[in-house]
Amino acid sequence: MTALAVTRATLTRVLRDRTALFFMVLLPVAIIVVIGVTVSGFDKFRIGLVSSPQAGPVAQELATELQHAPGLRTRTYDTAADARTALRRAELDAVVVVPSGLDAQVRAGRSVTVPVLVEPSGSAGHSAVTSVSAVVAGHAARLQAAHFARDETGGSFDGAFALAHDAERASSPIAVRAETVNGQSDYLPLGYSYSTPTMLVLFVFINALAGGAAIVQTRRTGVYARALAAPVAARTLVFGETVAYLALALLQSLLIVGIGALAFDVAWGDPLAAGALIAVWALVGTGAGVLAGAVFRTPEQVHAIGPALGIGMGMLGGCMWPLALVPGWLRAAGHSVPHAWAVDAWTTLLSRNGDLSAIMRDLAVLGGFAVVLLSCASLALRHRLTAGSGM
Amino acid sequence: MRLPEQVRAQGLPDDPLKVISYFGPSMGMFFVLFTVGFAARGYFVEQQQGTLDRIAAAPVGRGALLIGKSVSTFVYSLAGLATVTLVSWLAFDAQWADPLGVAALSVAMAVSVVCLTALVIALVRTEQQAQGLASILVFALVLLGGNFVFASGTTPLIRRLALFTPNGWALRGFTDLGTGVRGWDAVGAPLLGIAVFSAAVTALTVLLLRLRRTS
Repeated sequence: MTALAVTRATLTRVLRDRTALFFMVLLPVAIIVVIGVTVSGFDKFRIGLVSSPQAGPVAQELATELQHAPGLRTRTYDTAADARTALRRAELDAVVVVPSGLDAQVRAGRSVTVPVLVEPSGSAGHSAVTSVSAVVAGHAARLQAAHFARDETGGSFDGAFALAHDAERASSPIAVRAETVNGQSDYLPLGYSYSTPTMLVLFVFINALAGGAAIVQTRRTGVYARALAAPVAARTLVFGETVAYLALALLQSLLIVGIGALAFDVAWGDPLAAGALIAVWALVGTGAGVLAGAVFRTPEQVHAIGPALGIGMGMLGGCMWPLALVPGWLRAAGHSVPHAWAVDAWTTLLSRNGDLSAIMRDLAVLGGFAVVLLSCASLALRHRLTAGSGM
Repeated sequence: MRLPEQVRAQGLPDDPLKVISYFGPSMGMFFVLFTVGFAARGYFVEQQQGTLDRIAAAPVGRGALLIGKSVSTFVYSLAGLATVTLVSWLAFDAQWADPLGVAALSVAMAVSVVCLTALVIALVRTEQQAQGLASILVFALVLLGGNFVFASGTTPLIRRLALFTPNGWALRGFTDLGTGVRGWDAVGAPLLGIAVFSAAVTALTVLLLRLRRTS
């Protein structure tokens, strides 16, 4: 009962702290939104389109087709200089410059070159050129048909072009559909399904770590010393604090899961496996937080070192970018922190429809981290409370 | 047979942006912004311990005290940024076209850190409040400014929002320097953007301090 009283006191103190609530709910959600928006739409090439406002109908039609092409995300620029600047800053994969005299050239039966500017060293630009070429070739085929019709019937180019349009609409196009069979991805799904689980891993750990400052503050203000003067065992205080931090980690996890599912349509995979992963990760965070509360001497140390350590471990463990992208030695080093195993488990659940058995190895490693951290934390905090008269 | 429209790819002559040239200064700014919290908390700790009162009892003007505090925050911030940019350059081969531009952006960022520290001190009354507000401010700035994600990979709206932050402007400058642009073309707009932000924060701080004095 005394342990539960300690738990309740800690929970009440944290939940009344508006700054803590900011870090627990608002900040993770804000970062989920920013990263979710950033890592979405990778299946489309970012194209800058420069087309003269005085362009003729043929050039306007080409511009419209580029804007509506399914594989392209096209943004229009007023000047070629603006588009080049955006390309240089890597805001675009390629820039299509529709020639100003395109209509006149085409009507005269001459071939027109459409320049596509790319970053020479990147692969995305050259792939984007292929997609743009497909759209331009489709448009060119219609022009070719119009030329043929005009040459054969002797009518106007505009009439022949309209005829080519009608003929295209009346024909049955051959559709190509891509389908991945038994896909095994090493990446989390893009968009919010990427940002939400990774930020859950990152922020549950950082919050728990930063929460260690409250334990240090409680030690320094002599609250533990006064509690120990009553018939309360040190292990009771340690247990009460540990349960409080575990409850906070679970609460934060459930909030992120709920917001992710309801607001961002994140499918969390097998419920049993996801639940087990959340629980084990909350234990890892709790161990780290209580250990920080026992090891550090001042709250300032926790505030200074805790978030930096948490962010650094998150980066190393694949919370900021997929570890599948980094060199082998860095991927191996990343698995020295628990974050990498948690992200691996979420990847299995979300990208490969894995179940509990599929993430058992990750859970076992995380369980090992949790046991080590919780044991060290309990021993260190108990030592602090007994050897240092509760300080 | 030649089609009426043909695509021809043309490579830009600019330098490609290296990841380290962006994320080196990005992470440097992220951690240097934490100085706002350290410095603001330090002010209240000194106030609680009576250090500020003892200094005030000596023949030291308020201006000298203020300048001293500001310069220490400035030097700390600049040292942090200089360390990260130097390590990024020497150890990871980060490339920026203009060392003077890098220095100017670092100095401007350090000035904005000083201004933000003063704002936090003007807004709060305790060490805990300073810690809380500074943390919220720092994370809001790095989130909007593009320190967590590559700004060029985000949406145009987020890129525009980044220009309301000094770190967002600085990162735009580092992006331009990293793609071979030199001098005023690379850092002119970012320096002006950071200056406007710092001036607005300073004006708000002065207003808050005056309101506090009259209330």
